Amino acid sequence: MSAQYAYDGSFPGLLCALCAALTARERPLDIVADRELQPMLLAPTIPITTDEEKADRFMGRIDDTMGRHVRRNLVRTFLSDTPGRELLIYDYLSFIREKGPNADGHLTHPAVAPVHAVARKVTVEAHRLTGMARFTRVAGELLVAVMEPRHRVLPLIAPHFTRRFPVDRWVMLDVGRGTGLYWDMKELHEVESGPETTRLLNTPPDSATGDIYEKMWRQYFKDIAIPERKNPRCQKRFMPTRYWKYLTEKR
Amino acid sequence: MDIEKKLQILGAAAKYDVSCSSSGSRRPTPKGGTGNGVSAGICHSWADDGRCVSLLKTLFTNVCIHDCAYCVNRRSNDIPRTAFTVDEICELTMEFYRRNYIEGLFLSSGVMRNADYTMERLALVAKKLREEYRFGGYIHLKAIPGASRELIRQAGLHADRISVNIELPTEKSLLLLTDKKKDDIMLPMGEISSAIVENRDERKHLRSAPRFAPAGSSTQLIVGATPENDHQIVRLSEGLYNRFGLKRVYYSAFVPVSSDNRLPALATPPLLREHRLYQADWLMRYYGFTAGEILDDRTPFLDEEMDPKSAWALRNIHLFPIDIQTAPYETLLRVPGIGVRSAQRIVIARRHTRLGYDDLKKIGVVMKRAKHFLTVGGRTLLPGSGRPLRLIRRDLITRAMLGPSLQLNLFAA
Ligand code: SF4
Repeated sequence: MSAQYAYDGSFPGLLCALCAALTARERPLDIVADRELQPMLLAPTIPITTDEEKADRFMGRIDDTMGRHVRRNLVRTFLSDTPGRELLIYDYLSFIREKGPNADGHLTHPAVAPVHAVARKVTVEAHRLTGMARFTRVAGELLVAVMEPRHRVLPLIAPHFTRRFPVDRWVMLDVGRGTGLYWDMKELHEVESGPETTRLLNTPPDSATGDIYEKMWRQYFKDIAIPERKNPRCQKRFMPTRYWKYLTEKR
Repeated sequence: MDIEKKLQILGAAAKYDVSCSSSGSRRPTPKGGTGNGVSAGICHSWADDGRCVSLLKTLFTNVCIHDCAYCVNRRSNDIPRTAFTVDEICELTMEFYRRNYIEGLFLSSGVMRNADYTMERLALVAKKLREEYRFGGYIHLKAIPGASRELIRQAGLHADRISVNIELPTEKSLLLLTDKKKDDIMLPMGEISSAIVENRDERKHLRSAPRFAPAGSSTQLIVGATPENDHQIVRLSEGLYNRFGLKRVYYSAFVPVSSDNRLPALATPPLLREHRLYQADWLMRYYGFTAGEILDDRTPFLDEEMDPKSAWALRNIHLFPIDIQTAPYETLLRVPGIGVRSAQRIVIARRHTRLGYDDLKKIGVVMKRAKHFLTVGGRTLLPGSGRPLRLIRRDLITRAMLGPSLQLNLFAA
């Protein structure tokens, strides 16, 4: 009988669940994170234990047999928080397993198109935020970027900033999810919601540091628009208002 | 004058230069330094006029010995004048960059004392940013018309891009509105383009040879200040792409900044015309069109009501319909409603299935326009082909989203 799989919500956890479901060769009723689990009357729930090593091996097999582009789509779909994403990924992987690595090019197929669409949304937001993340200088030369992205993009964009600002200490916070990544000039650390984070989270975006460069940036931003060409529609299309809250020049 | 006030004057004065691109240069972060170049470029913000902000775009000084009629900095204009110091610009760039406001610096300038004196200052800013501040972000410098070869070569060693603005499409207009000659502009442009070509060859043999302006060169043309037609403009652009290897030609709708009687009195800048010129430019750079296909002597201006590709397709209706399953990529690109991204997706997807109407929609094709030009599943999409052009035309008319979305629109249909 078809079952639902429950995993701990982590990425390795999902990989273990996918591995189990694909091995069972029967489409699961659902794959859900424990926190979203609702008991089903007529179907068994199979709890998945997260095993990092097993997850790594599974990922390695995907790389080898399906290709890096499949891993990329898988990761991005997982980071999207779209409801039902686990099953989308399951269908995608089982389709590619059946048809071979090139099946990813079957762009209009119902097993492929949704994953591409979701992964693309995540990619677009990540790209946007590489440009629209704003760092504010707080005490002790620390740079803090606060954001509230739709998707869990921090792990995607942090490497860009480690390359770009290797010799600064900085932290990026996803306040919607209460998570963050901290760069200590050597490596990235996940930030838990400890007292330090809370203090940073409470640093109002409009920090009263009186940073002269923030002030100049705001003025500059006003000055470079050509008044005869004012075009709020175009501006909002490229820079949706939901991001404005944390943009130095727009708050 | 403090730096805040200077930025207010010199930042605002640079706004008529429309180039904002930070693409084309992959530069690693210097050891112990800050910043890198990302070859696709990154937009950081969009100003109230809808233009992307990617670089700190500013003048070094708004002092100028010239008197170009269309320019706010012209000698005869009564405005406050100032100049940054080299260190002020470097600090500003670094501090803005560290806060992730920008990809780098775009430095232009009025001509202070003489061309070489000014060019030397600009080159010094770039050198200092690279060597003292260990900055790996993007630097775009303007070459000052009339500056010596030697200085331009030096500047290009530290900059990612170096460019000269042509501004006016013909020498006649240039002579009418400025005290510059064609050579003042074309000589530095030629110098830059040959330096880029030589450098490319040199690096083929010697990987360690220093790079010269790896992101290439660009230029800007003002549209609507002088009587040239669109045909002349796209032909000029085509020549610049082919002969000088320019990466980009920017078009800037003329914004009247003075009431000089040599200039036309325009109520509003010709934004729609500018928008259509960008579309025509894209057709030449990404869609394989030649200037002669887009316009000719009989059709000297771009159609205001529809994009240039639609206008071309309508004039060449005898080449259609094409079969979605078999037409080569280059032909797909010529169909109104199919952009670069959807053409690529069609080519991939049709290997797996026979594409239908809904598939094309899913792929991102704008069917309202494309349906007139396609055979899908062996049939034309419209009952009774040979429809009157008037009806096709109606579906091709689009309300242009004004404001050149310089970066993102690239792959739109
Ligand atoms: S040389 Fe440049 S800055 Fe000077 S007036 Fe002419 S266009 Fe303006």
